[in-house]
Amino acid sequence: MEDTTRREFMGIGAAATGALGVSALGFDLGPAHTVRQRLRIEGATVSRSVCPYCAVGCSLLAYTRRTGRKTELLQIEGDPDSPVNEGTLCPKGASSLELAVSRRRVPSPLYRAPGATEFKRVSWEFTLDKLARNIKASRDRTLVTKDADGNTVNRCEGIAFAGGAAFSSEEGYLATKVMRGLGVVHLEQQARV
Amino acid sequence: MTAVHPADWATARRRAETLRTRHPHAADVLTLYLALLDVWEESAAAARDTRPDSLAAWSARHVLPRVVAATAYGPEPLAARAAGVGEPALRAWLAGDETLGPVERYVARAATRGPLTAVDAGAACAADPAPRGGRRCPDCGGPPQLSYRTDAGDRLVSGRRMLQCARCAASWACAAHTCAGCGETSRRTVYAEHREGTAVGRRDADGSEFGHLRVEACTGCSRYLVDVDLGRDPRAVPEADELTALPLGLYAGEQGFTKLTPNVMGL
Repeated sequence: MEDTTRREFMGIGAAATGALGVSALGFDLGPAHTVRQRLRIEGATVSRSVCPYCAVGCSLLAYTRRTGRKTELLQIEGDPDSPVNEGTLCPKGASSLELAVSRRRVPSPLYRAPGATEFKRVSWEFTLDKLARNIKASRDRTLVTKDADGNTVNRCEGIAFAGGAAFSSEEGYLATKVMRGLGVVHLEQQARV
Repeated sequence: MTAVHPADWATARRRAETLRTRHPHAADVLTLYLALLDVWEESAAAARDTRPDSLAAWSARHVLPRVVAATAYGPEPLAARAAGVGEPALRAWLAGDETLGPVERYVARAATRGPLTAVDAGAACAADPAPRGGRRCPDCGGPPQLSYRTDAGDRLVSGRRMLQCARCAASWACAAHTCAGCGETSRRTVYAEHREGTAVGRRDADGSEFGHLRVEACTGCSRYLVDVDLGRDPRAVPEADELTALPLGLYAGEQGFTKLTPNVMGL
């Protein structure tokens, strides 16, 4: 950050004069103050993000507003400075706003028990526990310890993993480590970002 | 060198006349701007023909008297004091001198704005040691006056962010997420008129008073500039529209921000 120069100091001086109702050059600022008072002006923070969908990895500018402890997404647009998408958004990428603000978005996990006809809302604790148990059961049931020639392979053939397009290098590394730890061999990544 | 097509002056004039009707709070400023536009257009044509060796001396002799006469359309105290400004102020402005007073700066800017669009601005401002490029004008090293977004012609396409020089009015591209004052690439805040709901891509100005204008502020250096979105209003002329953004500037001042570079009217 640069220090305030004398030129900018003069600008500050002009603004201070403006607060009195007349600008440094003598313009009447009263009407502008009147307009200012009836305007409803809001601030938004601009952040860079990446579209979560396909492998192209388009860059987004996201406008958010913080109200109390809640951050609200107001607008997204293509980042004009991205060499990938040069400010453009495809219709699918444009719809990524709905991931955050859609009224139809499911806010919590839903579970339909075996034999049940309806989904019911469950906690994340229940969901993660259920997923872990099911993965463990599938892995134990389909783990192949030796191949047809008697070689030790310890591979799980009952689970496949597909990584998303917006995976970072670190997320891809972690996912690979976890899946290899389970013996999963059907492992695919779409990550390009 | 920045070439200004004669049609650009006419476009700016039409826009300023429209804005003067639409925004009574900026009528005084736009009236003076319109008077200066005539001076700038004619002085640009004259400078193009003459190719002066010393722009400050030439402008002082040929443009300054016309600027003083046009300033009669501005506030009375300004018109009275403008007559006392001479060539040294123009020379200082072209050399990047930051100690000029508001009236001297106004006269110097008004007297050199037109000719600078018609001559080699880099050579005319060679005495200014400011760096060229980046956040300064690549032609003359002047500071950015305002920011604007080009019109991409499609709501799902965001136009490039451009900065316009306060001295020679040349435009250059600058990353949209970068503060034009300090170069900070995070913690950037924009202030604009309230709108309901969410949006994807560029919104239409939708009839709001300042729908295509916003304040781009940096919490790092506490400075701001006005951004004009041509995607929302393709008829906008950034230099003219920025003159109407004073209410937004007053709000930015209330939030503790200082304008990066006051416009030619010192606002």
